[in-house]
Amino acid sequence: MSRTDYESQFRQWLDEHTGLLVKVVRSFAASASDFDDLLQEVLLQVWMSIPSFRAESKATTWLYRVALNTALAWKRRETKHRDGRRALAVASAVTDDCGTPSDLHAKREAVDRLYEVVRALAPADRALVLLYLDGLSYSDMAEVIGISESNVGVRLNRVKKSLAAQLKETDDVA
Amino acid sequence: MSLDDLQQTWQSQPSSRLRIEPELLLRELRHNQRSFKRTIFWRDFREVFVAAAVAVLFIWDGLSGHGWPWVLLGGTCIWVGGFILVDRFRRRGRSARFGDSLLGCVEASLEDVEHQIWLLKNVLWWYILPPAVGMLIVFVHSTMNMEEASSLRWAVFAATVTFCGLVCAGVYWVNQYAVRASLEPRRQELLAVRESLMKGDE
Repeated sequence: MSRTDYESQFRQWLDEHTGLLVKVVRSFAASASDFDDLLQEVLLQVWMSIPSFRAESKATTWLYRVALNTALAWKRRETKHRDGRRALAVASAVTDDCGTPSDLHAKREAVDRLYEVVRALAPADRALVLLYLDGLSYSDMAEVIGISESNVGVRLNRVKKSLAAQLKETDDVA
Repeated sequence: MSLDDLQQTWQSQPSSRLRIEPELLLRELRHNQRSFKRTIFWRDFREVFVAAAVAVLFIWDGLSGHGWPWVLLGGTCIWVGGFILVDRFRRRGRSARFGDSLLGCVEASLEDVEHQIWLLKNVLWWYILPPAVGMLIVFVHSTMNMEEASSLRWAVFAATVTFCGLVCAGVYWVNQYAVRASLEPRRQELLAVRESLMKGDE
């Protein structure tokens, strides 16, 4: 594969799978500056890992792996180190569904609350929940994480319970 | 809210678009990749080529009349450079790759960190002690061949050895500090992630 091929592959993934990358980044970075920092790190790792991409796995599975591995290894940078970095990408939500402003507001609040609960989970559980919420099959989850499908089922049940408990807790507080 | 509702809420998020200048992004990514490669190259250059250059200098000095201790000191520099080179060669291709599964990547990162810890914990034996012994032999040899009064000679010797000893102790301390402050906490983090990924899979 030539450099031009890598570049067109990268552009295509940016067009098709931005939502996936943004969800992973938002699940690990709460503040806007952390989000920007981690997003750049993820984009850099995707770019640098393209030569190791083998078409035998699905692009989405591979992108989840790169994004989650980067997020798990990511360390918050000091603000002074971060200031030198140029903002290269700004994620924006595209409102592609109709509804009253109050419906949209309620939906946004529900999503924000869900992210808060997801971010409160342990990193490995967070990765699993993210894949579950995105509707991946057990075999895809097993491929991303590197554990057996039966273990995905066992662990997912445990994590779902803890997720439900946390949500109930935040509901009670609200 | 049921888990099905959660999944529905999650999937109903408005699709995100990245507002980017593709050219700017690609230029920056290429720049970052180049600077990463440059950093790796200069790290290797510093460690291996400098050791080789210093070794050549000492050996040349020794062969042109300063005596065999300088050749020995050059040999210890070759040992340090060679050790780093062999270590890099043996570790080639074993680093963590971000396209691997999470468990695979965590295990490879853990192996990397544990190897770094091993290197730094043993830095005395492969990095500090060989050139230090070489230098000590050079100092003894030079001191014995000095023409100044005996007491002055040995005073200079003691001062030089103390200074070099302090430098070696400093280098050792910095390496052990790096293990305690950065590598060991990272290892613990990776062990925790690995344990939580493997829970129930044994």
